[in-house]
Amino acid sequence: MKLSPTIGLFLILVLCFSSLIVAQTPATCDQLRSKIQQMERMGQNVMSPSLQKVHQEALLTLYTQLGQCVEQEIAIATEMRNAVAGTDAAPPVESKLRALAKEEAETKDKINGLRTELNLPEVSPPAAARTTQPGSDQGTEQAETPPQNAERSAAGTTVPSTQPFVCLDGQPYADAPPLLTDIVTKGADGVVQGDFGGALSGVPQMVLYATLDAASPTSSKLLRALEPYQYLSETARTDKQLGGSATSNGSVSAIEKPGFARLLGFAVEHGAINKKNDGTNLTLSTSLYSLYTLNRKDTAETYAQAGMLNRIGVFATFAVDNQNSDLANVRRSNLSEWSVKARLFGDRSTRSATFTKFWKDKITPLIDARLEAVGKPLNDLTSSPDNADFLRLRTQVERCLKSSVSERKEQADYKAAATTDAERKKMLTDLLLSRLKTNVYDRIKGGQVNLSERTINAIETQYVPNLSAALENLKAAGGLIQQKLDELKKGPLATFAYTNHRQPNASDYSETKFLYEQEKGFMGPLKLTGNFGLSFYNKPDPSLKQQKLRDVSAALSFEGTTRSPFTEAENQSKITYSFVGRYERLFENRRMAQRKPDIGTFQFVMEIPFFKGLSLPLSASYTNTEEEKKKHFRFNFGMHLDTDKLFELLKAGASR
Amino acid sequence: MKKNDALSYDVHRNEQITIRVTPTDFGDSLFSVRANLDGDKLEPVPGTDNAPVFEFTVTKPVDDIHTVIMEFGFIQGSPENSFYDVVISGENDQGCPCGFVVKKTTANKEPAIEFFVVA
Repeated sequence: MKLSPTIGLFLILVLCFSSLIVAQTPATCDQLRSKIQQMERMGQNVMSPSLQKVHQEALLTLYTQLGQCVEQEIAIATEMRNAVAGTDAAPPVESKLRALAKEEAETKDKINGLRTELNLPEVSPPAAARTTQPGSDQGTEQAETPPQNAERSAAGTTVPSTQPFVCLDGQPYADAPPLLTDIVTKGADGVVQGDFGGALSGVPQMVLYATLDAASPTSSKLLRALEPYQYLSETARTDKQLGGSATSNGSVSAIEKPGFARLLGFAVEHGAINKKNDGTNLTLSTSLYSLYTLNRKDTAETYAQAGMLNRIGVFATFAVDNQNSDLANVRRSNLSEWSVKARLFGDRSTRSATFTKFWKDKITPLIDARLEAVGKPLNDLTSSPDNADFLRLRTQVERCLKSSVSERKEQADYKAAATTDAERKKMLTDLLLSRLKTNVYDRIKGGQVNLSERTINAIETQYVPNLSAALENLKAAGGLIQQKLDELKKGPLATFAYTNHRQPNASDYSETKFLYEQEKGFMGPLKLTGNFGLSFYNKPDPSLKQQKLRDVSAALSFEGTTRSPFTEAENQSKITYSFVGRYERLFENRRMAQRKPDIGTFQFVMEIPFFKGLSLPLSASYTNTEEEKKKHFRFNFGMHLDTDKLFELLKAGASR
Repeated sequence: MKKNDALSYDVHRNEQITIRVTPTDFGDSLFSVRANLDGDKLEPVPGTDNAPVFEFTVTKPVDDIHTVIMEFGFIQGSPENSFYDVVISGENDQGCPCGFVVKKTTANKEPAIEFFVVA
C-alpha cells in the first residue's frame, strides 16, 4: 500500500500531538525543543491548507508550552545565579540566563507570528509602560503601546528587542537632571581640552543617569533632586593664606662652585628652586627633597623614599645689581646671607600622618560609597538578565555618542578659529544631551527598551536613594575636611634655623635660632610664636671689642584674627593683629662707650582687609636703640593690593 | 587587550588587567585614588600605597562589560602641576601605550574605564 506524503505527515502530527496529551506529564524544555525542531523541519508547501492549519496549531501549542517551560527555567536559573553570585561559578549561570531570556523572546515572537497566521488575537500586551514628562513632580501613569518586540515576562524579566539600533538625531533634553548635565558638561570639557587623549569620558554615567531619569516618575523625581557632585578638592575658600617670606629669618647658600649658576638655571626651569626678586634682593629657596627629585620624577614613591630630605630647606639671598638677568646676580660677591632650616617636629602638610589617617578613616569610605552608588546600578542594569535590552542599549548608545562627537568636531563651525573653547563645550554638551534624550530617555520611557519591575523597584528604593545619601555625606565631608585643614595649620611646629650673615662693611656672623609656633592650645584663640637664638662671629674683630658670642635674642608674638566687616561675602580674609616683643643682648656693646647692650622692641601690627584684595596695614612700635638715651616711637600705615587675591575673587565672581 | 580609546578596551575572558597609577608632583600634598569594579570596591594591591596598582580578572561572559570607575583627588593646596599618570595593561596588548593622565584642571575626575569582553 502506498501512503501519500500528506497522510504520512498527518499521522506524524497526530502522534506528536497525542503523545503530549496522552502522557499527561509535563515535557521538559529539551523535549519540547526537540519536538519543535522536528516539526519545523516539515515543509508546509507539501501540505494541504487544512493540514497546514493543523501544523500551525500544533506548533503554537508546542511554543506556548515551551514559553512556560523556559519561564520556569529562568526562575530557577535566577535563583541559581543569586546562590553563586561572586563565585567562579557565576559566569556560566549568567550566560545561561542570558540565553534563556533570548529564547523566551524568540518564542514569544514565534507565538505572535503563529497567532497572526491563525487569525487569533495576539497575546495580551505587556504591563503598562509608565510614562511621565521629564521633571514632572507628579508623574501620570498611563498605558503606552509597546513596541512589538518588547515584552516583560511574568518572572519580571525583559526580553531583548530584535529591532536594529539606529542612532537618532536628538531633541533638546529640556530640564535634564543636574547630575546628568554635570557629567555631560565635564565630558564635553574633556573633549575640548584634549583630556583622556580626546576620548569622551563619563559615558557610562551619562547612560545611567538618563536611564534613572526615564525609569519611572518616582525615580525621575528623586534623581532630579540631587545636586551635582562637587569634588572635595574644589571646596577651597578664597581666603588666600599668605605664608611668611622664605627669607624672614634670613638664610642663604654660599656654595660657590663651578657650574653653580648653570645648575640653578636648570633647577629654576624645572621648578626645584623658588625664585623671588623684590628689586633689591634675589632670594632662591629650595628643599633638599626638591634637589633630590631633579633627576627623577616627584612621585609619591619618591617622596616616601626621601625620608628626612623633605624636612630641610635651604635659602640664599643675593643683592641685585643686574636687573636684566636674575641669575647673573647669583655670585659669591652678591651673596648677603644663606640659611638652612630644618623642621624638628610638627607637620602641617596634608601628607602628615594625622591628616592621612583622617582621610583614610573618614573620607575614603564616603568616596567609596559614592562610587558604589554609581557602579552598582550600572552593573546590575548591564549584566542582569532581568534587563536583556539594557546591555545592548548601553553598548549602542555609547558608540552613538562617541561617533556623534567625532562628527561634530569635524564640522566647520566647531573648527572655526573664531569659535571659543566655551562655545565648543556648549556645542558638545547640547549634542550629547539631545542624543541621550532621544536614544536613552525616550526609548526607555516609550517602552522600546524595557526595564523589569524588579529593576524599577530597585531604582526607586535602592539605587537613587543610595546615590542621594552618598552625595549628602560627601557634601557634609567638605566642611569636615576644611575644619581638619584649619586644625592642621594650627598645630605645633618647631624649626631650627642656621643663618650665615655676610656683611661687606662689618664682620660676618652666624645665627642659630629655635622657632616655635602654635595656634591652638593654651593661648586660646591667639597664635603663639616664640624664637630663641644665639649668634656668633665667624672671625671676631678685637678692635671692635668683639668676642665669639655676638648676641642672645628672644622674641615672643601673639597673633589673632577677627572677621572683617569690609570684605565681600566670598572673600573670607580676616583682620589680623599681633603684639610682638623682642629682646636682644649685644655683648660687644658692654665694652663700648655710649652703647647699650640691652635692646628691646615692642610692636603692634594690624592689617585690615577691604574689598578686591585691597588692605590697610598699620603698625605702632617702640624701640630703645643701641645708642644710649635714644628711644623711638613710630607709627606707620599704607595700602596693600594683593593681585593674587584680586584674581581669585574675580574668578570666583565669574564662576557664579 | 585591545585599545578602542583611552577609556575603552576589548578584553578576553580570564585576562588579567592591571591599572597602575602614579601620583606625580604632589610634593607634600596628600593624593587620593579610589576605584570601583562593577559596583564593588576595588582595593589597590597591598604594598602599593604610594603608586596604587589595581588588578582584576575578566570573569564576565562574552558581550558583557566590566566597568571600573575611579576617582582622583586633588586636596586643597596641592600643587597646580600635580597629576596622576594612569597606565592600563592586559595581555598581548594592542594599540598601547594605554591609559591617560588626570590633571588638576581635568574637569572629569571620575572617569569610567570600560572593558568589553569580546572572546
